Amino acid sequence: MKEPRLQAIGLVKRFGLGQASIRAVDGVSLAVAAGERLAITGASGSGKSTLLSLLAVLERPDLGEVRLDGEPISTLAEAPLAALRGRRMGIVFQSFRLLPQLSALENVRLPLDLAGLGQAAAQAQAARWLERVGLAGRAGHKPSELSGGEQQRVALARALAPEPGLLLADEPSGNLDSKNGALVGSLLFGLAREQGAALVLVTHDAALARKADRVLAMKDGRLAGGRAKAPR
Amino acid sequence: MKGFTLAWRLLQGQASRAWLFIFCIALGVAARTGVGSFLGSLDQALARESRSLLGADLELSGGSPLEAARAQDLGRFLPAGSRLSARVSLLSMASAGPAAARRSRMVQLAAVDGAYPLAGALVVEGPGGLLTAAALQGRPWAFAQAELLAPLGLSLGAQVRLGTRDFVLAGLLKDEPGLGAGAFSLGPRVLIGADQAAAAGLTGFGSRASYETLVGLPDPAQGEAVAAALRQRWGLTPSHTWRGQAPSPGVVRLRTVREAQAQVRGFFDRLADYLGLVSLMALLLGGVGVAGVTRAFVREASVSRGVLGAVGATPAAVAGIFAWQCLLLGLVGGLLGALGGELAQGLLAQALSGLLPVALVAAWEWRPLAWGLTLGLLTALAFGLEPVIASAGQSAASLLRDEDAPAARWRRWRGLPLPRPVAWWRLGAALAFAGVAALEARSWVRGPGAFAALLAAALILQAAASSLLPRLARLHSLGLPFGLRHALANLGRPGLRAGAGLVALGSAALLLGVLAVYQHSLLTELEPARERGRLPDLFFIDAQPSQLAGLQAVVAGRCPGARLELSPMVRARYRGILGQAEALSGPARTREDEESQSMRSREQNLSWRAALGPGERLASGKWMDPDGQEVEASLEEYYAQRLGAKLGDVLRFDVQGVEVQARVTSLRKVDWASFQPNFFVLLSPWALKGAPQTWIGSVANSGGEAQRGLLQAALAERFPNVTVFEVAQATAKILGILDKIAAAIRLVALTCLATGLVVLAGLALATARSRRAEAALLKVLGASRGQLLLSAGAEFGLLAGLAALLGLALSLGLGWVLLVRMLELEYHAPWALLAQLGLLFAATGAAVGVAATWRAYQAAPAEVLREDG
Repeated sequence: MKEPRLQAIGLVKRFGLGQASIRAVDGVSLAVAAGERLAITGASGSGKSTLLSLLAVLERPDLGEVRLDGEPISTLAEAPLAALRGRRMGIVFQSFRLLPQLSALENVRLPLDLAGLGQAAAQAQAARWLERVGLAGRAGHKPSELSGGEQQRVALARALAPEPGLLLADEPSGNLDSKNGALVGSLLFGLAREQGAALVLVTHDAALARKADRVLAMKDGRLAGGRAKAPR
Repeated sequence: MKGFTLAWRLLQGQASRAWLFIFCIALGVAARTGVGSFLGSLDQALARESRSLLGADLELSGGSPLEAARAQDLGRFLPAGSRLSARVSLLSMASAGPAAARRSRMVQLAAVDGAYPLAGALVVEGPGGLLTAAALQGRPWAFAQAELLAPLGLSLGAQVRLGTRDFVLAGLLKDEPGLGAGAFSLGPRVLIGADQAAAAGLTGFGSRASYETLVGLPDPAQGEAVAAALRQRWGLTPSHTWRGQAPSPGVVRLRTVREAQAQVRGFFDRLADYLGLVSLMALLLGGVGVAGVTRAFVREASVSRGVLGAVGATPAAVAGIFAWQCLLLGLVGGLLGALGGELAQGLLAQALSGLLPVALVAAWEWRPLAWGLTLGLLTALAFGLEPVIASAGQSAASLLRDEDAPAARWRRWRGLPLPRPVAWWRLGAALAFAGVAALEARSWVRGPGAFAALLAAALILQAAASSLLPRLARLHSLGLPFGLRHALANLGRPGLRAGAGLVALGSAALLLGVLAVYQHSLLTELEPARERGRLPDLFFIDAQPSQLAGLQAVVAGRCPGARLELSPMVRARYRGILGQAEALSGPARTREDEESQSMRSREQNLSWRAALGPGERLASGKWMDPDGQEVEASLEEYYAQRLGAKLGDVLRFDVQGVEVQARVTSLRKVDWASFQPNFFVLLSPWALKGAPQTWIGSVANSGGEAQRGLLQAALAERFPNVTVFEVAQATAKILGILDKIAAAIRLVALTCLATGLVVLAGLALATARSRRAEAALLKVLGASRGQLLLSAGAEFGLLAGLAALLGLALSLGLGWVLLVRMLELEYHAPWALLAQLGLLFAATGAAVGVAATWRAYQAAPAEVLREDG
């Protein structure tokens, strides 16, 4: 049987100390197959963003394990973990998280440069992805010169530029108006499917969640039962 | 995008931080390069004027005239076209005035022949124009430096007594080869003719003259080769074995131009050790500033660091980006500093004017530039990367949330606690800088010791800052005017991180304070001590045994209440410790090696006494047994350390060809500042009584200046071979030299103050954003811009004042350790001067605070509040 693209086993994450500590994620297990699109919904403070951080191993779980293509990654040392993230994962944040000193194209190139891709190849690949998100004409602009929607599209291009097998998106439309949110959402799902990448999306945008193959609800750090989208 | 490109791009929008970083490095590098370039220019000047330092290409000297056989051999050996000139040099007394009011001064006398000098210029102004050495021959004429005139009431044409003869002061000596090095001489320079010295009884019985044969070569470049060949031919000892003392009869020394240069350079080399250490401190304080700037930048760049981690940057890659930034900013700072140092070397030359033997022409030297730049880059990396490494363990998510780095925890390896990487980094940096300090001071003890002292001071200052600032901040609840209350409250501002500023300014205050304490203590001890009768009035040397009764009679006759102390002195050479092979002396690697070599190879002055003198006490062992069968030795403690001798060792001395062995039975601590006759080596009284000896002594309570002058004149008249000098003049000279040295050190130390102020400015800029928002709110509530600026001035004035207070308090303690425990001198705190320093720090700190917060308080409230949404 093929390994799931992403697997989380019994993840626990605590914040605070002693009596004052809370379990932001409390024993979460899930599996995402290659090409599957999973949405995680829940109220503010339910722990979904923390869960996404754990799945991306942006921070280490206190208990439990994360596996990527069957390989445990939550116990990897920082250096190989960062390299893995840059090559095999793409992350989209709610507040875009572009480097303000770099142009749109340079931001998209960043993971390719860090992965050691040659100058010319990185430039070409980044330009291609920038075009895929409809911003070829804004390549030289800094984030401060782009609208919110444009910035998020640049962030999406950056996440997809290394052509990862896994995409993680934390409230990608959270800081956008409905029109831009819908545009970003379409691009996210469309490009992920084209790439054959698994997508884990945290959102409280119901319309966006409906596009997923499966939706899981999170409450008080735990996953409630989800629903699978009926196959067409 | 390469790491360097990314590093450069991430610096955009950080101009003020970048400039702070650059200035922190530039000031320290300027200090180091300035010192190095000054020495380089000195070397060039010495090389350029080296022949005129010696007055010839080679100098042969001895305690007696060159033997006829050797003189003949010399004539045969030297290349054709060589010229010779004879000179006799000695310390003597010059007297003038009527018998009832005769005044005397010690002078550096030289009897020269008509050919003098063979290199360099002799410039003598007579009534009718310039005069040469030829004018002195066959006449009782003298040329003298202007400094001799006023004390003896002389003018051109007046009579001056030298030895047993009166001379006419025929010319004013303006310039002579080697005259520039006279800053360290004991008296003004006087020249007479070669045939006049003997006629005046100056080279007779008991005199300690140096008989010099100067050699001018047809090709000066041959100097070293000719010297080497002559040394081999005559079996002469190397020049580094002398200590500038007059050589013994029968011993010939040979000195080349390069060796004369090296001897002059020796003093400045030692001074450069201290200046180098002080400039290293300026660099380290700059490093503290760099760490502060980088810490703030790293904190602000948290989100960017998190993003980089999220898109695949390893911790090493992130550190690499910051390393490139440190290198780039360090390079710019280093280059600016190097340029500044080159331009500022003239300031150092000015501070040391009067001590410099040659005129300096500022020159560009690549070695000090390269070394300064290297140190600048090392400082930039060591301090700039520390905050990066300290926060390396922070998770990408925590960075993205813009959180502070978690508290440092020890890691574990197989259950054993392991320090975090940043602890290793700090240790490595500390060892590297301790090594640099050892290189600067040419000593594995002094350099690392000074570095350790600075490190300890920094830790104490940091701890004091952490403890005192919150307490001070709480005082804002007292009923004080708004500006002061606000200033006090701001001392507790989150994110202020005042520790770096306090450490930098406090360390600068410590350095300046120690210098002030040291100088003030010496001044206070030496000047009034003589007036209180604690120091003798006169000191004399080279009295013969047969002259002692006469000396006592003259002193008693002229100054009935005077106290005369006499001590015998026997010259000897040290041959080593019995049973130990004497180590071959190669080139000295450290200052301690140099001192050790010097102690071993110098001419030793042995003496004896029945009991310990007033200026000494036993440190260990027991005093000599007067009835003992074995010759005992009592050594001065420092001397013993340098020889490597300890209690029980048997030392071997060559006393005029006879070996004397003495067992070390005690070590002494000697108060050299007492100006009493004191010796490194005292032997059993009966051991040396038959040896050729001279006597030295001191006269205290000789009465007023007039009486003292008469006594000096009488001694000079009756005993022309005895050199008498006034202790007051000697102490004034020493204090004058110390003053100049202190001025030079103070100049370099001021870069530490400047660095501290730059770090303080950095503190203000780091909190600019929050100040801006706060100012907007306060203006809405009724505060004026003037009030806010005054408050900023008070805040930073308080910070700087507190730093100064802490640093100066530490300097009192460190000064006590240095003076009382290490140098065994009296300790006097310069309260007024320290208070002035404290006020200076507070005032400049306040000014910097106002300047650095000026822009933050300019913005209109509406503008700020709108920006913040």
